[in-house]
Amino acid sequence: MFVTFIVCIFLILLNTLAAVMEVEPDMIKAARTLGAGRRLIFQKVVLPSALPGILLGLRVALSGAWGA
Amino acid sequence: MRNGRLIVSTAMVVASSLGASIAAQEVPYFSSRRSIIARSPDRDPFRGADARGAAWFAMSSTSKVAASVVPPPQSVLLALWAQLQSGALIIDLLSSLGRASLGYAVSALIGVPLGLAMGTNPVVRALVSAPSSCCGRSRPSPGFPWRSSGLASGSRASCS
Repeated sequence: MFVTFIVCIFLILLNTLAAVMEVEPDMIKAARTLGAGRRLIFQKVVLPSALPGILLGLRVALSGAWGA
Repeated sequence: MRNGRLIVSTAMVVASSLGASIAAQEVPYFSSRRSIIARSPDRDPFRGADARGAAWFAMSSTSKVAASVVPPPQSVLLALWAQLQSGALIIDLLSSLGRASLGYAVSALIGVPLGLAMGTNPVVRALVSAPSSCCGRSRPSPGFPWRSSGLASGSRASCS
């Protein structure tokens, strides 16, 4: 279990981090122009835009979990 | 505990070689199915499995190699059947699956919120990535293999 955790945590964490940092800054600026707060920007812009990357990390880690 | 995984992976090798030898005979069902699944000979998963199975059988049937090092295919199949009947295979497999999925669930429950917090909050990012010297920069290095697996192009295509 610990080995599986070590294998999975970096794949999931770094993929999520990269996905969140790949979010288009113009979209965040546009949402802020329209009057959205931090919470609303996170819900409506950051999370949907980063979801493919997060799911990619979960998928890669799923294959690594059984192989570890 | 690791017995179940060993037996399963060995049984997969046996099954692939058996499937290749069955499909190699010109049975219409198998030949049509193979033409659907394997579009090009490079992508055929059973390619070379015949030779591998034959090499395994020949290697284990000669007395040069000890049976404890390379067991013959029939004893592997017998062990698989015995473990299936006694239920030990199912128990070992379930415990292995439980441990793997527990580690996966814990790392997903920690990794996704932590990654989201690191991405949105620079303070959290600096706190987490400070101990490691490789990620001390503001971005993770683009040369790492997890970024080359389709993430950068995919997210950029969905954004623009």
